[in-house]
Amino acid sequence: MSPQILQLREGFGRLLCWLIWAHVPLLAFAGWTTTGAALPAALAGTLLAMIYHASWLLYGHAAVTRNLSAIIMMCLPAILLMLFARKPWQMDMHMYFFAMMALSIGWFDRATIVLSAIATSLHHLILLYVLPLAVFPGEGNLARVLLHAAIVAFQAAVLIWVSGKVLQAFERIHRMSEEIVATSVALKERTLEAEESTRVKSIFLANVSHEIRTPINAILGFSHILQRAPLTPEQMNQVRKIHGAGSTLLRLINDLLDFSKNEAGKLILERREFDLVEAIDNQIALVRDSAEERGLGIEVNYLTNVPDRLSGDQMRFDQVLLNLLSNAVKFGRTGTIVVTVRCDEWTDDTVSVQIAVRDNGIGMSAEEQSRLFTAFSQADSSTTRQYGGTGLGLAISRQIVEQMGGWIRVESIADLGSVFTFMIPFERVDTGASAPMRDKAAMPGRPASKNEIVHVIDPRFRDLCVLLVDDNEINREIGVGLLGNAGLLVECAANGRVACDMVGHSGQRYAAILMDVQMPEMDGIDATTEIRKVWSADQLPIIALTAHTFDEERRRCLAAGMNDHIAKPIDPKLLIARLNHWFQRGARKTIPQPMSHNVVPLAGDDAFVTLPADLAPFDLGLALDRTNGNPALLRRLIASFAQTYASAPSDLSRLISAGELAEASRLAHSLKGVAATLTLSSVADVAALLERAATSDETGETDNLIAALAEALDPALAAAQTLEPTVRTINTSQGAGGVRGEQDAVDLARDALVRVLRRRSLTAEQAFDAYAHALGLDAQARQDHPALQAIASRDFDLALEALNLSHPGTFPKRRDKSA
Amino acid sequence: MLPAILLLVIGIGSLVIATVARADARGRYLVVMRDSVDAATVMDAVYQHGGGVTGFTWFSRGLYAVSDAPDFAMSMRASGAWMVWALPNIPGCFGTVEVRS
Repeated sequence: MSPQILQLREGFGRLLCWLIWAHVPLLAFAGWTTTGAALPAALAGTLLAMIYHASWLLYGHAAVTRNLSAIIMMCLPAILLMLFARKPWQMDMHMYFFAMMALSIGWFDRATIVLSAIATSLHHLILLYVLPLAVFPGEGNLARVLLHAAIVAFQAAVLIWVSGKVLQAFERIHRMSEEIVATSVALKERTLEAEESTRVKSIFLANVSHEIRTPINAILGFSHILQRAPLTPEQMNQVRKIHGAGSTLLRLINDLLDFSKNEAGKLILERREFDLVEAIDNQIALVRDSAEERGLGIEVNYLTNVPDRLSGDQMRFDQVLLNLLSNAVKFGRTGTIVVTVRCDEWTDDTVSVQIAVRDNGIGMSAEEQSRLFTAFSQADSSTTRQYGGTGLGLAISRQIVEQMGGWIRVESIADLGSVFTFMIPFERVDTGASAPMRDKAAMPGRPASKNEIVHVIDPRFRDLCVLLVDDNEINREIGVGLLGNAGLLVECAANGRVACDMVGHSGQRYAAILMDVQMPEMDGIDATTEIRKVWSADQLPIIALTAHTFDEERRRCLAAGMNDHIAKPIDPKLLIARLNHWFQRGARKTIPQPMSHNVVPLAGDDAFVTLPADLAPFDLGLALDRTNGNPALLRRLIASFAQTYASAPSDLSRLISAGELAEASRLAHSLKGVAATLTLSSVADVAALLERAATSDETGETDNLIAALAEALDPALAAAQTLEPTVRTINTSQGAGGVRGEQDAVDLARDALVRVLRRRSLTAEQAFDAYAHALGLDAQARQDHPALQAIASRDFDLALEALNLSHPGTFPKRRDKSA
Repeated sequence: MLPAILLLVIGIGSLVIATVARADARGRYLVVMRDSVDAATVMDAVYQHGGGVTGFTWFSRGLYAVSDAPDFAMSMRASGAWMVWALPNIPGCFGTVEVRS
């Protein structure tokens, strides 16, 4: 029985209570007006009402109540019929039987209707035929009674039919409702599964793309290095082709990742303020070199006034414009690529930015244009072979533009050229009366100049100071090298807490902060939140450096108040470009930097001079690429690695045995990151397993893993040891450079000692010995050294202070607050 | 079902009793004679008391009589009738007309 029917019965049963009780005064009135027997009539009605009410209260709308109601509803007209006997209204009282029978359909129960019909017929048969016949022979009229019974039967049949139809309808509705609910549940489950699948696919793609990027980086890096080597023209040509193929592959991976994310609905637009003119100029700057190589010029025409500031997703806008510009350069043959900018449909809040990119390229037929914005489609298949590309660029552009509420189209004539036009509505930013919109007359045909190429640090920003926050020593070393070479000064902090302290103490010194996200003590998110309480995003830009390319990670960083996000491994060109961008936006351009370290230029073509040709298991070529081709830096990193992690297996074993799993996890995490950077993949893999085991408290297999780690680590340590004497030999054999070499050795030993002290490692004493040896301390001086005494009493903080107090001049040559 | 059937039986029974017991006699009587009195004697008595015989019942010693005399029943009992019952008018479904003799 469907819930709707039960609900109807409930309502009808309640209605009958009122209805039957309402008959009590009616019967009394009828009795009084006909025979004067008001009381007996009222008592009869009351008795019937009480019987029904009791059944209703006891059994609700159960069958017993329904059946009783059928009899009671026939009793009421029977009493009225008797009261009106021999009165003109007697015949009308018969109609009341039919009315009551019709009312019984409210139960939607066949048995109730049948019972009503039987009761009516029996009443007529006995009272209106049998009884008269019994009293006066010949007075009963059987034919008329039978006629009445037949009418009652017909009415009952109709009511049963209607009731059946209603029941069927409700049953059908109930079934449909259940099916809809079941379908809805199934749909919801499938939606969840699909979302989960999409999420997994997205993560998989992000991970795969990350994994693919690593070898592609190696290809690009080596080919870049090889191009600087003395090669025959033929070899040079081949290397350039390798580099070109690598670049294409990288673009393909990025396009596939983008397209896949967009298809999965993962394209999430941001809304941030930006400068339209600056954005356009930046994209033109990126393709200007390529255009000039092909003999093409680029010109920008502003046909209307342009808002000073817009609000929208600048990154996606840049992506679309760059794609169109790249296509124009790729397919253009002669003349100038013309970029036309116009802003229409101005309202108080929005403006439609329409940009057209015109080239004098190969053009397209109408049929080719029709399939141009479809994924994996270029004008024709020969285009791909001749010009390269994935055919995804325009499809991605269309996805982006349409999601931003705009459109993109192409007009083209074969062999004459093409005009790609897109429109995106943006929100206008109210910049106040002091900053009106830019007049187009102030920007006539503005070409982007050479010095706006973003990967070159703007001379105006040289010697600005950047705070690099990263818990990984190797990453700090790399960052210092990259930024130093770019002409910036760097200070370092090993976690968010230290960074907050440094910014709190002298925040005005920094032009920007590069912030790692995952760090011990205080992570990058919390540190940014803390810094933002004092320093706004305009005053002090913070750029996140994370190992993940997930949008979620990026959004988390931006939500915390960071200005930008760059994924690791760091692309130096991108990093400098973004720094240029943020420096240009800020007012912090001429800040004195008294605490900064001196920038050491790279060795250039002497990159391999201070390194052996082979240092297995280190992959020196790849590692060198990751250190921006700085062999001195790489050498230092390898030595540092050997000193820091020589005791890693025993340290991990001790920590796990002591139940200090969090500390063990941190050590394994650190080892994993450094080993990966130094191309020790087997060490990194085992360290990752150990990190996972320590994090998830599954230490059953750690002994085997530690043994495997030691086995993987030993060759690296041995290789590093072969490197160290060479350092000393080279340094000491170079006269004045020898002083520098000895100082380097002291620095190395001291850095290693500081690190083990911070990790509270029991190898601190051993590290102190190395440090003392590097300083040339005799036995007595070593014994009297306050740092050694503090180490002996296991007071590592005191040892650090003692180390700093006793040799302040040798504290790391860059200002490195690592604790 | 049983309570409903019980109520039906009681209801119809009550209606039958109420119908038969109604004191709205219109001068029609059922007369049942004693065993010691023959039909002719009773018929004479009916006529003597201002009434008339309208028929006989399906059982012996019974007859239907009509009379406008107010003391008809009492007089008949005095003349040897065992029971004299002033009959109600049972109009059936359509007895909307008052029956008068």
